[in-house]
Amino acid sequence: MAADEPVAERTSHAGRTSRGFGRVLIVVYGVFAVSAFARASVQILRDFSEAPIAYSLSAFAAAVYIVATIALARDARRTATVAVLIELVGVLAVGLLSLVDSVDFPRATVWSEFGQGYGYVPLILPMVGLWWIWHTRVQPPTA
Amino acid sequence: MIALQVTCLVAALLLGVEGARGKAPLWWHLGVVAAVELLLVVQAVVAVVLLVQGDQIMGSAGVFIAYLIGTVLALPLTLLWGLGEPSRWTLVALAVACLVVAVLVLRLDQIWAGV
Repeated sequence: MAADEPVAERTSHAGRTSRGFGRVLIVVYGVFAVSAFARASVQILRDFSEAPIAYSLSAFAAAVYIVATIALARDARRTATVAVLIELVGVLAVGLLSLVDSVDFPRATVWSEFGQGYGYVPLILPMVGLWWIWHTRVQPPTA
Repeated sequence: MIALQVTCLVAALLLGVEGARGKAPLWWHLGVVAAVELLLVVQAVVAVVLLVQGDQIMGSAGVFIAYLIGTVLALPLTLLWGLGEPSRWTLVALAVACLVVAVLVLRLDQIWAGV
């Protein structure tokens, strides 16, 4: 597919995370931004005291997704990189902790068990995000 | 509502394949999206009418309403965003949105039944 793509189309995406495949990526990020925000809101409004750490993490995850979505959509590469890196660390750390220590994580977050409840998309998404930011970089490496 | 989920999945497959083949959005693609959206609006209206008539949601009513709003808004918002740069990726984005809606409809059924 990429091989027969016109060169002009490929280079015009340089530096623009919002173009081409980025359109799709941002839809997925948007879905997670909205659903994580909704989930955190419900958890915190309904029974915050039940699992304050897990619910705070839910809210934090929602904020990260929102920032990543907006940054990718506005071609803010540096902000997007930071947000996606935090997202990657978050899903790995929370994924591990939720398996090891179920006491501090009695309630689910988007990142629990590496995002199993969401088809592991939360685990794959930051990797795809980082690849995409790298793929749309302006300066190709002088290899 | 199995029929609606299958419709969403078929639409996702169709639009995904068209996108993968490198097609830019055509009118019939938008027709498919409009048809799915129409069904989703009908579902939302039916759900609201049933609730007004006194039917009870077994699960969380707040989550149900949120998901219901999500099913109605997902495709129009994706279409708006996708047509900002009409390309094969518009169709892939719409396919992804159809998949998400299929999952939401499944969850609506489950929440309604209290699963």
